[in-house]
Amino acid sequence: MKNNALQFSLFVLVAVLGLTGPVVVFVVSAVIYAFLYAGIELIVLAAIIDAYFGYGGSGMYVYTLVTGVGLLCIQALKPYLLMYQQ
Amino acid sequence: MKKFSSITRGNYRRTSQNKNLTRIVVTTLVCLVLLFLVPKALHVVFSVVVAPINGVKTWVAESGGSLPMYLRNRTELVDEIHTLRQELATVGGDIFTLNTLVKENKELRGLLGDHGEQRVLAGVIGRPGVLPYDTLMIDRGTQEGVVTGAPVFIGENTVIGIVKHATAHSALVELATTAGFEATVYIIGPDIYTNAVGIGGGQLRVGVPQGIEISEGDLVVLPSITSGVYGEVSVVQSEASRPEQYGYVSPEVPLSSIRLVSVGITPIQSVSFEEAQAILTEIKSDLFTVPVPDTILVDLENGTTTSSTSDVTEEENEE
Repeated sequence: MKNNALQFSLFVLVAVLGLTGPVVVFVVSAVIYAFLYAGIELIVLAAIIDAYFGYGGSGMYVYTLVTGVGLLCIQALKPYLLMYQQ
Repeated sequence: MKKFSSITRGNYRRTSQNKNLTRIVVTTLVCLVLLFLVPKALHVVFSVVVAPINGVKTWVAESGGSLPMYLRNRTELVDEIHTLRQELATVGGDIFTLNTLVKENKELRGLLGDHGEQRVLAGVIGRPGVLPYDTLMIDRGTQEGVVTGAPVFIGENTVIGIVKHATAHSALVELATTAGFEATVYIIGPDIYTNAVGIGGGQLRVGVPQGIEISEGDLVVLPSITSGVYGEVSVVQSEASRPEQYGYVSPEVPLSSIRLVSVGITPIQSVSFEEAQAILTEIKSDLFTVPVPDTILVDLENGTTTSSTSDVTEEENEE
């Protein structure tokens, strides 16, 4: 229960940073969130950013693509990075 | 053979990881497909999601409520600025202060369209580098008269973008330099029409064939939006082995230093080529003519002629 509340709070913080705050801080917090949790909701958040800010643009939804690829890399690297699992 | 628990756990971890990877790929693909198929619908739906967050941000950044002001400590700073300005203004008519006030007054008059067009003055509360994509967030919305499609000006006549989405008290502005934004431009120098494409980071790119001479410093005008000079070519990328060359255009005012903008109250209308030509003629005339008083200007209409001078000389000789 406590873990879920912490995850929710962290996701809300990442979402607010993504929609209003500096992009750099958002990226750092999103990476940390992805390492701590599976992070699939980050893809939805990136899609929201692309749909709202990128509407009418060139059509290359960069945030969604980069988030998806980044999450894949983090998930693939996680077993080698987290010592206690070894 | 007995299956050891460590092998079972190992297999479970691999299965769980594969499941996560599959979920990520599927979610990404679904989101991308939806973004390409129904972008406008998603934009409208997510505008509702984003609106309260922007509202809170605007409230914290701009509201006069006690909590935001306590957080910002704005009242004390504004009072201090006001007091200091008064002290400076009352200490013997400081020329520098007068010039600063005149300049600020002129800037605000220019932003609000002193030449007759009604505009809404807005403060910038989010700019590229902070917000994703080349967008600006301003602190005026539909309640103050901002409409979707309205042009956004810096200075007196330079349009930098259009309002993409407006809520009650804030609006999102899409800049002309956002990636994928296309516009027709006129380059003064080679005197050509061409297409410019936004490439992000506050830059427009114009592409012309080799053989057409574009130089750094050439002025660039956007005739489709009745504005003055948008900016100048800051860098030219030209290789003799390639058939095309590119010029990169930056606006006159750096986007990171924009503090105030003015917003037109009517959306931009498309113009015909003849109208664009007329606009360009007016812009060129404004650029290259200076309103010199008649008593100083010497030209064919105002200057003395040889015959009149000779008549005066002859009269003097006769006397």
